[in-house]
Amino acid sequence: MIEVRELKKSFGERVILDQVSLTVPQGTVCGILGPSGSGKSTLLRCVNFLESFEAGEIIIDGEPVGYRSVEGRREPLPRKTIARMRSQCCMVFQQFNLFAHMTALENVSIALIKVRKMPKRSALEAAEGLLGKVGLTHRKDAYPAFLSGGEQQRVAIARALAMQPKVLLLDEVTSALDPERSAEVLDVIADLSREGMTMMMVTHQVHFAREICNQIIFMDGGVIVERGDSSMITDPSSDRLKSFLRHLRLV
Amino acid sequence: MLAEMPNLVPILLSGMQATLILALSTILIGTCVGTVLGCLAVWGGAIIRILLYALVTIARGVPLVVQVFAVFFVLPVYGIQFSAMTSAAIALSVFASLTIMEIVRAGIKAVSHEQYQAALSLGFSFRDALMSIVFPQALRIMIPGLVNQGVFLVKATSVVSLFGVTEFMFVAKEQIERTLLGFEIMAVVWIMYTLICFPLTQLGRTLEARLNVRGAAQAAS
Ligand SMILES: Nc1ncnc2c1ncn2[C@@H]1O[C@H](COP(=O)(O)OP(=O)(O)OP(=O)(O)O)[C@@H](O)[C@H]1O
Ligand SMILES: [Mg+2]
Repeated sequence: MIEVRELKKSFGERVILDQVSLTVPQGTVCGILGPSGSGKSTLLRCVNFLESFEAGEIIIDGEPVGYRSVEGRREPLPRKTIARMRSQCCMVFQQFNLFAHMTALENVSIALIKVRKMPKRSALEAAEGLLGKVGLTHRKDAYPAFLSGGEQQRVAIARALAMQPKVLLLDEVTSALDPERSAEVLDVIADLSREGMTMMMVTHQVHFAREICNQIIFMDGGVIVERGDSSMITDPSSDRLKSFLRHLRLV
Repeated sequence: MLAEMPNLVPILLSGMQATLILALSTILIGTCVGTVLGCLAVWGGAIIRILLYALVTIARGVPLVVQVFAVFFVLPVYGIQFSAMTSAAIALSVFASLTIMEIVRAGIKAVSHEQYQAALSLGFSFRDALMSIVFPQALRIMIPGLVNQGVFLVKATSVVSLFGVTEFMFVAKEQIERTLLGFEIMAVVWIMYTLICFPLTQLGRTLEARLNVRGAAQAAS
């Protein structure tokens, strides 16, 4: 479903991602671990094409992300194609980023109206259904400022699901939440994985990752240091991952 | 005063009319052009941004009288000649556009970049992201500044009386000199300017209050 090949990305002189390759088959969850600054968010942002990249390619469901090659030359895809690709591969952010001037219901329905050009009435109906799915029907008229962090993040997930994306990108979606709020969000994610949603998930919650991820990738300094299935967390092979996991347990 | 009323009222009204036309056109043009320039100041290239920054620095730094003077007396030197009223409208509109540009620019900047990115991530086009996500939030931030600027512009129209434009202030001065009813006419001038500006401030307050019901949302993230 997602295919990343020899991805390279730098900010100015600094190389942030180097030769990153990975495959996420349909219906599986890929967990991404790594210390701060290792390029995890940047990787997800490239897949969503919120960042450009200099070399390599990303392919989602057979379609290239961001660039195509015309007679051997690499050129950016038309804006429309980029927007369409983004809408099939939605991102959920650490800081929720709900639209502050809209209610929960409006947050979930707006993209259906603006991007999918759905009539307002059916968009609102669909949005209600999705809020129900994340257990927030009773909060549909609340503005983000009046929602708890966990509620905001569940609305944000519903907002992404509204697009019926082929892929969901989750960037430390529980890092800003206390354990209780974080659990309610993780429940939603676990449900999604059971329903067969393809996901890439950056997280520091190794236990959760071990439970739901089919594959885990450990990044450091912009490269993939170790990869494997979820047993990697209990049985790491590289020293770098061992010390990283020891660190996580301490905090 | 009473004896003079039949003469005074039509003259003052015509001056009033000129002031209103000047103020409205200035605010209208200033808001439209200012909005476009504000967007350019955020998303335009480096050269455009530097140019606009230079222009707004001049517009804010140079006294308004001097700016109006430039349009009235410097442009004709280059063979560009307009009627007094048009010159006044041009001078004030340029000033309005540049100052409103700053308000729009700051308003857009104050909406966090993440809001825009979240919209893009859902597949919004640039235009839709601006229209449904960035602008509505920027507007709420901009309202007090816009209302202030609107009121300032209404009052600023009086500057052009110095250049012989027969707006409210100009005819009022003329009538004072003619009738020597200094106190009475000045009182009328005070009241009329206040009356024009009142709806503006009121509109600002209403909008602010209405947006603020939802405005607590601002704190999010
Ligand atoms: N817009 C940018 N301009 C310059 N450097 C950037 C930019 N965005 C990220 N970086 C740098 O890229 C590196 C990787 O950032 P990234 O956010 O991907 O790390 P991360 O693994 O997500 O870290 P964290 O766990 O703290 O979120 C960091 O060193 C960061 O400073
Ligand atoms: Mg990150």
